[in-house]
Amino acid sequence: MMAGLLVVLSMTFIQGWPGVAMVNDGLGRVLAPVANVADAFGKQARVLWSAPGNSAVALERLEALERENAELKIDNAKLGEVTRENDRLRELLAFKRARIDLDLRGASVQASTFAREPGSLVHGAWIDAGHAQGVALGDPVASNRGLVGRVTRVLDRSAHVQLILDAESSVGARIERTLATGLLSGSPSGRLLLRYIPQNVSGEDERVQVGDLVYSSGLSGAAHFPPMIPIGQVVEVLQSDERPTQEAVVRPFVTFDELDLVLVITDWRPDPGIGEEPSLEGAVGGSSDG
Amino acid sequence: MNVYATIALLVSVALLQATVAPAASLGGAQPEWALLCVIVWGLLRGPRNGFIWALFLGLMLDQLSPLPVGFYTLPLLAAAWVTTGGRDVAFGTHFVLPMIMTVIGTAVYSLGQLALLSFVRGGYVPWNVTDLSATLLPILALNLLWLPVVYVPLRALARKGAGPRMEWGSR
Repeated sequence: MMAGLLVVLSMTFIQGWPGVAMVNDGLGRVLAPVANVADAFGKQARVLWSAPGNSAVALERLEALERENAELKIDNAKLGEVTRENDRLRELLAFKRARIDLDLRGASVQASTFAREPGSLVHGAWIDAGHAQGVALGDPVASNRGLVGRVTRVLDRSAHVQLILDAESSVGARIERTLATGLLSGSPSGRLLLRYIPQNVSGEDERVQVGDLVYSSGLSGAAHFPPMIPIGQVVEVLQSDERPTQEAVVRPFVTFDELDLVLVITDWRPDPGIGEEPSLEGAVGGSSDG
Repeated sequence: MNVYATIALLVSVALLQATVAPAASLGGAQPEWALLCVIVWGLLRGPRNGFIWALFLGLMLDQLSPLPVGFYTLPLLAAAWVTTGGRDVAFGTHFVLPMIMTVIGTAVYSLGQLALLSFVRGGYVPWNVTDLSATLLPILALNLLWLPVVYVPLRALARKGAGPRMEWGSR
């Protein structure tokens, strides 16, 4: 006890000496970082030591945050899907507004495709709208991008649409730039071929060119489609001076692999005054159809 | 494999053909899973079984299509008839045989459909080598690609039920 008291007293007196102060200062500089690290470890140890309850609370909080994160991810995915659907519906709405003439004639039925033709050589799709929704045999079907096809079979709540890509499909079509008309045929491979385009002799500009836009002509034929619905763009011209007509390969605007929402144009009937589908004989020497 | 399990399997294949196969399309062609099942099963279990599967699957596919009954059944039966005839002839159970038969079966099936489409339905089918190649080659390539996926489970199924073959009558 006495010895301890003496040591403390001596240290008290020694503190005042300048040499001892320098040693203290140097030691302080060296030991300060070590002390900081030790302090950090100490704090961590205190947290861990303080109570197992704290870590349990932290774990619960972590689990809650993970749940919340998962829910937010699901909500985000749903929101993304709703946003995409909203965009598609807006595009369809824009198409309906752009074609007010069709809307005046009757309601359009919105449907989504849910199955395709079970083979590579036939191109068709089933939609989830049928008699109950006012769909009738032969109704044209379109999407916001352009012409899709026509209804070939109707059930109560579903209908089959023959796509314009199908080999049995033929659409009266018109080239926007020249107003020349032709017959757009599908094929087993899904390639669209615009046939019987008149071989116009009046000038080079009248010939079909790559990049020309193709629309439905509205001319009556085997199948009826409203006029001026976009179909696609010419990507290849098959021309020969020996033939009386030109042919062109058309790439459709509609991405048929991603076909989802479509509009069935109900109650549309072709005007009886419109001429017949262009024929091989009629096509020679003239392109106008009025 | 009993009749009910077989029917369930074939119905599933037909539904997958109509709903999932279009999503697996490549180059404008979709895999012909129904055809592959008929070819493989015919090779594994004999022509009789191949015909039964072809008939059942063909009728199912016809039901899923607005085209007249027979558009899928007749070419499928023709493919089954041609391909299962090659069983035990050249390569036995070697994997080369299903590959060769897939090539032949796809050609028979597709050309049969094109013939019906063109001559019966009046569709536009360009009968020239270039267009036919462009139409058939993607389907053929895709079928060969999917062949192992169909062949391996069906072979396991055939080995599992290697005893009595599937019969429609009570046995």
